[in-house]
Amino acid sequence: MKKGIILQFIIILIFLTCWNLLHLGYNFQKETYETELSKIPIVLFSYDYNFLKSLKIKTDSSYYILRTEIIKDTTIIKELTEIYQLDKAKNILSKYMVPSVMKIYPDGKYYKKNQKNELEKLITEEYWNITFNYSENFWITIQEKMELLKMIYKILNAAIIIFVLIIITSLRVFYESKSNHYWEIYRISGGYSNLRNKNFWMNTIILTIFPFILINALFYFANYLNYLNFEIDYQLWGIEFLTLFISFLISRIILGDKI
Amino acid sequence: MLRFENFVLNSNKKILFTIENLNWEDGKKILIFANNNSGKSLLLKSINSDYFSFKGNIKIKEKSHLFYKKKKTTILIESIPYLLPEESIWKNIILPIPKVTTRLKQKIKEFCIIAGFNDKISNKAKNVSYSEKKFIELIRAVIQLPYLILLDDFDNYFDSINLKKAHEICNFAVNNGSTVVVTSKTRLENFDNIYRIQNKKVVQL
Repeated sequence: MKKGIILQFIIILIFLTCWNLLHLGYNFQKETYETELSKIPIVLFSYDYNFLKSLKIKTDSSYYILRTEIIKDTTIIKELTEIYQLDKAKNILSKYMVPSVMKIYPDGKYYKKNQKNELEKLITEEYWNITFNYSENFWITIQEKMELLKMIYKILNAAIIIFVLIIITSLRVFYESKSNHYWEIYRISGGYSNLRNKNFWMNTIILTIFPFILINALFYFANYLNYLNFEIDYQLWGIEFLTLFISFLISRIILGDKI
Repeated sequence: MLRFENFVLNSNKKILFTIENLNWEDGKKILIFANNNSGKSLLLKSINSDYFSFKGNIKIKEKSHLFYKKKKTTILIESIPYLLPEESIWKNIILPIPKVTTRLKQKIKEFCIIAGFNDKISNKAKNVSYSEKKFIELIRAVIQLPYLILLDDFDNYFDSINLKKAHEICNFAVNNGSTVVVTSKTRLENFDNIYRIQNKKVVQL
C-alpha cells in the first residue's frame, strides 16, 4: 500500500506540474499579446494644444491607459527641421499651422472592446476637433488571437480535469482494492474496524495537500529567483485542489462498504 | 456477559432451535455440541453480528450485540483459516494489535512455545499446517482479550494433544475475563458449561 501511495503521489505531482505549466504557458502568451497591443499607440492630432492637454488629464486616470504623451507643434517643427535639415524652409514652415500630437498607449491587459468604445466615444463626443488614428485591424487581430488562446486554454483545462478525474479515481480504486484481502483479514482477526476508513482519509489528505505544498514552494522559489513573474492565481489552484478531492470522493463512493 | 432472550434461530424460514433465556458469565469456557446442520455455526455468527435471521435478543454486557459491531469485542474463529499467507506467523499474530508491548511480545512467545512453532515464527503462514494456522488464529484472538472468543468446530482442527494446548492458551483469556464459546460435533472435556442442541432446543448437561 505504501508503494501505491508513493506512486500515486508522484503521478499527482506530475499532473499538477503539467497543469501549472499550462497556466504559465497561457499567461506567458497572453502577456506577449498584451505587450504587443500596448506598444501601438492611438495617435491624436489637434491644432488646439489645450484640448489635448484636457484629454490627457482625463485619460491619465483611466485604468486601461498605460501612458500618454503630447508633442507640441513647436517641437514637431523643430524635430522636422532637424531630421530633414530644413533650416532654409524654417520661415516657410512658420507660416503654416502644424498640429500638436498626442499618443495614447493602451494597457493591453484591459483595453478590450468596451474600453475601446469608451475612449472613442470620449474623443468623438467631447473632443470633436481632435482627429485620431489607430490601427483597427491590428487591434482586431490581437483580440482574435487572445480569444482563440483563451478558448484553447479553457478546452485544455476541461480535458485535464476529466483526465485527472478518471486517472486519479481509477488509480485510487485500484490500489485500495489491492489491499481488500489484507483489511478483510485484519477485521476478522479483531482489528479496529474503522481503521481502514481513517487510513483512506489520512492518505487523501497526504495526496491532496502535500503535492500542493511542493508545487507552491516551487512556484515561490521560481518567483523569488525571478524565473517567473506571474501572480499566483489562487482560483486556479482551488480548481486543481477541488478536482483532486472530487476524484478521491468518487473513489470513496465506488469503494463503498469495503472501506 | 452474554444473554439470550427468547432467541429463535432460523435458516431458510425454518426454525433451527430456540433458547428461551440463557445467561453466560464472564470468564467461562462454554461448549455447545451438536450434529451437522443443527445451526451451531449460525449461532456463533449471530453473536458475532454476521447473521441476522433470528428472533429475540442477544445481549453482550447488557447491550445489544449490534452495539459492538464496529467495536469488535467478539472474535469468531471459523473453520476456514483467515491469515495473510505471504506474511510471517509473527506478523499474522500481531496483525490487529495497534502497539505490541514487551510484555505482550513475551506472552505471544509463550503461546508459540505451547503451540509448538516458536522456532518457525518467521516462516510464512502459507507454509504451516492446518492446526498450526488455527493456533495462530487462536493466539491472535486470545492476546486481544475480547469479551467473547467464538470457536467454531473446535474438534475439527486439533487432535487430543493439541486440544490440551488450545485449552491452555484459552485459559489465559478466560482468567482475564473473556468468555470462550466453543462448538463441536462431539462432547469435549474441560469446559465450565456444556450444552447440547437436541429437539430444536439448547439443553444444559
